[in-house]
Amino acid sequence: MSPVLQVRDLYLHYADPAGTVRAVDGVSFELGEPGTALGFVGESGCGKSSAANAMLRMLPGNTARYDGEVWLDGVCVSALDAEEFRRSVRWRQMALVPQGAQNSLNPVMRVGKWLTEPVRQSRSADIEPDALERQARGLLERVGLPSGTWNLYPHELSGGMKQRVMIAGALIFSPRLLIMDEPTSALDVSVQAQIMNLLKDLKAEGLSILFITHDIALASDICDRLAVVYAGRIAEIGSSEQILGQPAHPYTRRLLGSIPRLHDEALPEFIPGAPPDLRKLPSGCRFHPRCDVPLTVCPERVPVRLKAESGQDVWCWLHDRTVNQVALEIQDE
Amino acid sequence: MRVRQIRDALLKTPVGLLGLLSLAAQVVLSIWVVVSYPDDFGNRVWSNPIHWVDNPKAAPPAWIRRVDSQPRAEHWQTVRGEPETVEEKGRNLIASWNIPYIVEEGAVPAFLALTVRDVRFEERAPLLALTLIRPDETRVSVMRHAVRGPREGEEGPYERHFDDPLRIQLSADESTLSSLQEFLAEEYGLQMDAEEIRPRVMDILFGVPDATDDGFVPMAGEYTFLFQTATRAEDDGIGSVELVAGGDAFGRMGTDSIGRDLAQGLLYGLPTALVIGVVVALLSTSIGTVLGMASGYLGGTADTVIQRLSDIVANIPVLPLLIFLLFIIGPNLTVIIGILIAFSWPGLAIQVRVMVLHMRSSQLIEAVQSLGSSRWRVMYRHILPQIMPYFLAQIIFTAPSAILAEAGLSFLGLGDPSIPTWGQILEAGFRTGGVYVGYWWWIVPPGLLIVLVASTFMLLSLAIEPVVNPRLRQTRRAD
Amino acid sequence: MRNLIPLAVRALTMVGVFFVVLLLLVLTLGLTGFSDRILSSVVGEQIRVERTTLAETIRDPDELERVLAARKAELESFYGLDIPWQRRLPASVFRVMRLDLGEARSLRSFAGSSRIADIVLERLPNTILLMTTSTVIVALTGLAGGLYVATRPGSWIDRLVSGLAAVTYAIPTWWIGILLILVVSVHWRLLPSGGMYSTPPPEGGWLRFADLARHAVLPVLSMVLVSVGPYMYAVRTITLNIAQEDFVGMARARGLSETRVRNAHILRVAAPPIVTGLIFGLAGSLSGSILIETVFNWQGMGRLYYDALAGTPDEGVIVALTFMFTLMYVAIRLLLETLYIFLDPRVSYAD
Ligand SMILES: Nc1ncnc2c1ncn2[C@@H]1O[C@H](COP(=O)(O)OP(=O)(O)OP(=O)(O)O)[C@@H](O)[C@H]1O
Ligand code: SF4
Ligand SMILES: [Mg+2]
Repeated sequence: MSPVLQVRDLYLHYADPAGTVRAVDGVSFELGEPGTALGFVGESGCGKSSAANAMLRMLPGNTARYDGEVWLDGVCVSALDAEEFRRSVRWRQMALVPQGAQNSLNPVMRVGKWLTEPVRQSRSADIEPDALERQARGLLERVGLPSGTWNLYPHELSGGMKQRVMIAGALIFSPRLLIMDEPTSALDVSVQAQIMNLLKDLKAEGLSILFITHDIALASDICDRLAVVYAGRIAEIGSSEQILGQPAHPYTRRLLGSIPRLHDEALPEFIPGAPPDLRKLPSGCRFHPRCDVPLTVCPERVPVRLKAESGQDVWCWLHDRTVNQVALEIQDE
Repeated sequence: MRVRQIRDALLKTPVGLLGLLSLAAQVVLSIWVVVSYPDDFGNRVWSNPIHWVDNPKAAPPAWIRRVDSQPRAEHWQTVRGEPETVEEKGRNLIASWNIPYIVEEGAVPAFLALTVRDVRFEERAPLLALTLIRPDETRVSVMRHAVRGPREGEEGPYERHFDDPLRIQLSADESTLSSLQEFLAEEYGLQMDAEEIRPRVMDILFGVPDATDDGFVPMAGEYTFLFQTATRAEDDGIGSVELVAGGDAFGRMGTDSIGRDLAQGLLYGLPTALVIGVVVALLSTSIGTVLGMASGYLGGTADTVIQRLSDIVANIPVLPLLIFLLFIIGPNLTVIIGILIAFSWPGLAIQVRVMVLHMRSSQLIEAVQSLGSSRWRVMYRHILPQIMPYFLAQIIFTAPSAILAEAGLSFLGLGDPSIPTWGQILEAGFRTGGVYVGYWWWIVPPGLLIVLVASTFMLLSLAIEPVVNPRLRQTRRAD
Repeated sequence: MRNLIPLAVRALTMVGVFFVVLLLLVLTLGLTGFSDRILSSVVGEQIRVERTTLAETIRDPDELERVLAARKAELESFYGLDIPWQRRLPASVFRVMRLDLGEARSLRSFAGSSRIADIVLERLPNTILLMTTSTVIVALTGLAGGLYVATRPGSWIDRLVSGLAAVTYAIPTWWIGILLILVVSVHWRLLPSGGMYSTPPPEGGWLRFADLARHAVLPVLSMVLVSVGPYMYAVRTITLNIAQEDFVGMARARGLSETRVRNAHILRVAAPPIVTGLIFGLAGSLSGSILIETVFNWQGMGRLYYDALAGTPDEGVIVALTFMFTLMYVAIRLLLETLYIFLDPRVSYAD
């Protein structure tokens, strides 16, 4: 059986007065069986949201480069023309709960109308209005909202409620894949936990989830597999156990080191150096200026996909036996 | 600190700089006008027709002669004091002044006027005479006038025309008509009656009869006005004699239908406009800020009252009420300014209140307050500085609308007659029909000046807009 | 239902506006002694008329004076001159509110009536015609242009609109009108410089209408020229801001068509602030029409102001006009506010 989602060589660059922003720069991954979740983890600004938008072909006006393939259930949806893609893929097969869901509801539309709008608007879905309403109300209940929510306007909802409405909305077509972009970052801890439980339930029901976050701990709570993203590229991808237990990329190790742990005396380490500017990327391995174990090849050659000992894919020369494993002299500045 | 940002926006952007420079130039010019113009310019000069009698009426600016090819006489005016020659003739002393005057091809002056001042005599009143010597050597006796002699009971020496100059509009004077009648008969054998001559006095004085029809062809060349006085005593005489040949073009900006020099009125309008703009803006903005702060800070009944009031005042249709009030109270610039202030504050009061409410709930203010600072101190030290930028922006924004409002009222005839403004100049141009006969120099410049001053403020507000209202800046969605 | 509360609050404000204006009218008329002066002159005028008629029947001069004095006292009490203005004026306010506006001094209606109500009401349609025509044109072109420009932010046409908006804030509408007369009517002789109909007006419905339209071109154009820039700019900025909102991107992500995104998400949300723009433009167009009618001798209520101010001022007419304009303003405001409240569910009077 073909994987639910397969992304190959995805690129999304933006034109910017100060140079091209290489927000998504050759990203490939897959999300295997239904009912699994893949975590997309990386620092702020590394291109996670851009990758989600690229998959949905949500391109801003200043897009400079966009290509790559997106396969859903063995169908290459990137081959579809824009209109066809909009009608048959967006929201039907692949739904997004965006970052900033707080402002993603139309302020002058009641929740019920907003929820059902894509179905009512779609030509192919012929469903009775009553049935539709029943289904949508069911979804509201499913995400834990009182039925009165149906008639409310967004300004009458709390942040957590809006997030739930967004999730309900994303489920209206029963899509195969749900992309959640930082679903909990604006919420307080208890609401955050409720949302995570909801996602776990949904996952258990067979929904595949692409879970985007900067919080690797949160991601590990729900995801079966994790992809660590650095400066527009995947640094390492594998099962949660592999990534958390035996991180293979120096960046992942640093990332894990920066998580504060309960009952741990050690202070969290911070990753030295600034996150890279996507307009002026370092040569070779993008991480090399911040890496604590760089090799002489690192500034020169872009790492290729390698298998780490623990089995995950990693893009780091440390895992290539064929290259010269000579440490780079770190120049003091 | 946002006030600094505003300063930067004004000093470091081209738009802001342009606005500042233009404003500075206007202020400098205004100061010059205020210093150099006579006191009570409006009543004593501008609205006083006597002051303008010697100017041509509704004449376009002088530079028009370089633009269009139409022959136009330039306005000509000369004053002489001491006579050039004095000779004895019998018992009389004849003093003479020779005043040359050049007529260019086709450019016959519009009118001719003589003004004599400060006549003094011991016993017999002097006789005055003006003769025109033309390029072809013919002589026209234009005028003879006997100064009024002693009145009954009056003692010599006598003084005449010291406060009320003797002014004779030669081009419309009855005695000129009869002299011309004589001249035409003698020189050309032409018999014309006074009514025929009246409308063409100037054509006859500065032209020769046309053989083909009964018109006159202008005669270009050098003319001389010979002005003479006949007196008896040594000390008899006049103070000065002035001759005016009205042009078809006048000064830098032309004249209006009663001969007012528009350049003077237009210049005078500048300080007035600035004062109106700045005073209204400053005071209404201050009121708005104070009320807004009070409303936001005091809360309770005060808040409700202030907000309801702001709401109501903000929604009053201002122009009809302004017309009404000015009509009843009488046109007076102070009243205009007062009323404009009274209606311009609510917008800011509402805005400031919202800001104060927002800030009051901020942690800093709460902390400061819990340390025991007084309310008013908190307002003064912490809240006011944050409101400052809006205050400044509002001043810049209110000024042009106040200027436009005054102009509109003046245009309806409700302007303060003692202080000429651009609106009033336009009103006069419109009411007297200047528009319909195409007196553009009367209509276009005042409007342009209003636009100039108002758009200076617009430039300033354009420059600071991104600081005050960053949401309007073209931002990329940031997620 | 919940819409009714904010609506009621707005309505109350507008009623407040109305009464504050009335109060101001009464106070100024009273405090300045103006009302006394008007009434005295009315009484004086009437006595003068009666003196001439009475003089024919009553020969004895003393007797005549006595009769006249009695008559004068009678008239004074009739007009309320014998009581202080504070007590008299409320009654006249009620009269004004019932549109019982009294007699004009020298102005007459087109039909020759000297009743102020006749004069003013006869002019009302002309003002409404001018205002609505230009407002509709401004709204339509502003909307279309603004939406178009919003699709091309940063282009030359966008910058042109922004520039135009800024410049026209600084231009007096009426001066534009005068300039148009100077150029189009006087210099080019293309269109009439004022009035509403040619003299004599052409016969026949269509010809008459065409004549009216020809006369309306310049006044309408002046009003449109000054308001369209700012309005277009406002529409553009509002739409651009909304197009950047998250929920618009979301609408696209939800697979909605561009048409739907534009209509249901951008325009629908932009509608309330655009209506607000119209509301604020209204006050401007009201003042604008007073001045423009004056410039173009358009026989509406605005020109009536000018006529009543010129020569011997007609105070009754001025009071009536101020009242009528306020009434009109309040009515249109309420209409638009109602529209606004039903457009934007977020309006609530929580604050
Ligand atoms: N339309 C655009 N034009 C130019 N640059 C853009 C555009 N959209 C995003 N960027 C830039 O691309 C980079 C990646 O942005 P993106 O939103 O994908 O990051 P992210 O990983 O989702 O970050 P965060 O965790 O903060 O949401 C950022 O540096 C951002 O500033
Ligand atoms: S490739 Fe080199 S620089 Fe990059 S992460 Fe591996 S070791 Fe560090
Ligand atoms: Mg993001």
